[in-house]
Amino acid sequence: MSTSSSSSKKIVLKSADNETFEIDEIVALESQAIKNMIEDECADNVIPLGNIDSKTLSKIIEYCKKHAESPKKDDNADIDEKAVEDLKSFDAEFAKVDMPLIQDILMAANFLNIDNLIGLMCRTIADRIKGKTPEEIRKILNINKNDLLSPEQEAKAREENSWAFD
Amino acid sequence: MASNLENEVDFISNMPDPILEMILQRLPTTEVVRTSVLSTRWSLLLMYHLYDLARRSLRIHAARDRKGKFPESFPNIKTLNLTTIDAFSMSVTICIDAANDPQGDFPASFPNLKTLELTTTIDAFTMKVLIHILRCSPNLECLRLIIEKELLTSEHWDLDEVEARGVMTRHLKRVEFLEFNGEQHKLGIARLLLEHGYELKEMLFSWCNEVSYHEKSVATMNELSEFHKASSTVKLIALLKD
Repeated sequence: MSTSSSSSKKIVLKSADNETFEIDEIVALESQAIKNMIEDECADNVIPLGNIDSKTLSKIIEYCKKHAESPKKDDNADIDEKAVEDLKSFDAEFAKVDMPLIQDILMAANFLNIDNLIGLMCRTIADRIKGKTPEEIRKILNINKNDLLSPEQEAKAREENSWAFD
Repeated sequence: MASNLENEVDFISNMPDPILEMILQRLPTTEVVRTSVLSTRWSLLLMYHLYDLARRSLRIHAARDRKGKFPESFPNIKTLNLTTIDAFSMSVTICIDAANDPQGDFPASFPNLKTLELTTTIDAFTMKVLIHILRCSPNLECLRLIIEKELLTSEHWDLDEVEARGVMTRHLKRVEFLEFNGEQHKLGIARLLLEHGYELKEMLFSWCNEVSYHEKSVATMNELSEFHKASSTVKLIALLKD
């Protein structure tokens, strides 16, 4: 495995629409999946990501860059708090995107196995659902009309859980 | 993962279960219940989520969301069934979560609950939870128990550890042990219930294995008949399932 001093080493990621992104290896290592590939030495110079489009990929790289650059917890206790705050506000800004992109980022982060990013996206979705009516949530999540409960099923579920619908 | 801007892409059907599960974990209990009407796939996932939650809370101290409000009582619930995992399991989850709160009183009650069917493992902790549920069900008449084998070796515990006073509701008339096979730990539960069930009319043991039914049921019933019984009229019934 490469050491962290190898920040000069570059990795190239190729999106589904054939755009290439050259990034420092240390940034790529934020993805557990890519890290495994590199450790197993089965990564060529160019890693093709056939199911991630360039818009999504550039967002993900932005995220990984920030997180790779930010000092890790055990480095220095003084930097810690400031860095954590900084990262928090970055995450908050980062998540201010529309649902389709959130969904794409989530799928890609799942594929690339970037734990923090998966967590951030899930939290974002949960926050957007919170306090909303089922109708609003259906709209937010764009739930397929074919997958709805029958009116009887819905009425039953609502009655049984009426306390939650106040 | 081509762009979804063309809509028609259903978020829920698109996401793998573990991801949806992670989103659910970040929602307070009340919100989770409210989402039960979203879609069929979601409802299904939710059932597993709640079931899992209930099971986990039975085993370990569940992290309860303090913002989620607990209803004071569930006046409409007449039958509670943790095996078919319908919306009622939610109530049990809450019930059990609340039972985990060492300081707080037990806020939930089931004033009209008549039948409770519970699939659970048995140890000192789950027994306490069971007793809690019985306590807050003043009109419970029938208790059906399916006791599962603990997969992990749980530490040894003694029924005496469980505070048995006031276990039984005055109205509990019938207890059924389903999938019974003469296991000693189940007999322990039966003894506890017999000792405290003043109104018990029937205790039924539904044997699941024909061979052991023929081999052991008579001896088991003899053993049972020697237990102390609070109710003089209780009938002990053994039968072979199907």
